[in-house]
Amino acid sequence: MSWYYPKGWTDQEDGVEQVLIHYACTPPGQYPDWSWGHGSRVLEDRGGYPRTRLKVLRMPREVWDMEHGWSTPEYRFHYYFEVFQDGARWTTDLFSEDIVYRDLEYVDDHGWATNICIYWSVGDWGAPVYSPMEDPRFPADSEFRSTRYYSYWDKDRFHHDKFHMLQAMERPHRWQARMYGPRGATLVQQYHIGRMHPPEEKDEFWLGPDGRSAPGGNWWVQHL
Amino acid sequence: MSELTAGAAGARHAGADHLFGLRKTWWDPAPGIEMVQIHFAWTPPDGEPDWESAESRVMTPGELSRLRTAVLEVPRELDGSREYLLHHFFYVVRGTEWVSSPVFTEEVVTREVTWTDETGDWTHVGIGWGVSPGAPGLAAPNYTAAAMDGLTFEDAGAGAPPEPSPIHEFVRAQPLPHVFRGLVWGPRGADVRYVVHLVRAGSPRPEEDAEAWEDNGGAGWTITL
Repeated sequence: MSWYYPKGWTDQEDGVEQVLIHYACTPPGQYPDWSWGHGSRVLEDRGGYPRTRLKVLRMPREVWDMEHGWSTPEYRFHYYFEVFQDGARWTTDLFSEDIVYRDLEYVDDHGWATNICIYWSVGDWGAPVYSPMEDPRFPADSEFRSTRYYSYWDKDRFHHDKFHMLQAMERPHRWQARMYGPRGATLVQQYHIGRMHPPEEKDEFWLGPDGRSAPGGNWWVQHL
Repeated sequence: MSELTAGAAGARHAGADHLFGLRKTWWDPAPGIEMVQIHFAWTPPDGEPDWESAESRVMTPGELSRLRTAVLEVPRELDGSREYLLHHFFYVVRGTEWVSSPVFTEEVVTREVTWTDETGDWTHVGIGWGVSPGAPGLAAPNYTAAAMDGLTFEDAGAGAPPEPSPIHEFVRAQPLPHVFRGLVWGPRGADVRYVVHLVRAGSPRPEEDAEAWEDNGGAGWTITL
């Protein structure tokens, strides 16, 4: 699964016809070969004055490091904008950012929850992501892993079996998942927590520092 | 697949993919819906999606309506083929109730758009295009750098290059008219609206470099996939 990174642009002058973002990801300390595979995407015109433009980029959770022969979850994101304006094209400087991750742990002392996701987004809530959480003790090959939840068509069975598997695990339950973003940025973040079994105790909510809320109602700010 | 091949494939997947954006919409049938996700995956024809490694996006609502949208970023090529299957379903939460939609499978196909430059004024032609799920303004914008007939090193399905390639002399050497061909993508049966981007770059006299848009009087052109 990917995460999503919004990149915006504000027209500083009239006459801008279109803006593209050119981008590439490399392992830390490396620079892209722009002639070999890069991404280029058109920013969406969102109107307004001054006119703003936005592209939400689908970002990888890791980048292959050919030099070392491994994948790295922290990498460099290189980009520049190409602007078509008044019958000419020009490009901005090249920017590079360190993409880093933050692991979060939600400690469930009483084993109450059966499903938890981190609900998070870079900057504001413009491009939110749900990252399913799991206690690392939960069997890696189980059909009831959280990453399999959405496409598990018999949800009642999933809820029932996962509940009992979790109940058999020593408490506290330590749910973990990962968020990503550029170093120095802020992430907004909640937890989406569910107790989906037993049926008469079913409960589900988004949690922020001030307690239960709607999605994006109250949230933590994480600094990368 | 060797480790190196897998790694290279991983690297391409990591940040160097050629993608296009396809907007999907969801209309809340009632107030109080708290979350709508779209889960999506692509496979070769006849393939079954691996939902565990599928992508997902949160469908975010507009300020004044129950219309939620998300732009799916999907590949222009899968296993060497530009046509493949795109599968998606919606997962919706309202209170403590949830519902999953059926899985929808669409055939992603391409169509070629051509542009003929009778006078040889332009060195590069781009196609600005998008597939709208409803109102024209909902189309996610995409760009294809068209390939000129006779220039065998160009690819009709490429995204925008890092900069216009220095091919002014190659272009001038080709007989007129110059025919440019670019590909557009989308679900079979969908309408694609496009405009044409004309670029003259690498001129011997740089002040003669220019770019312009042909958009059929603002309406663009439409083809059906």
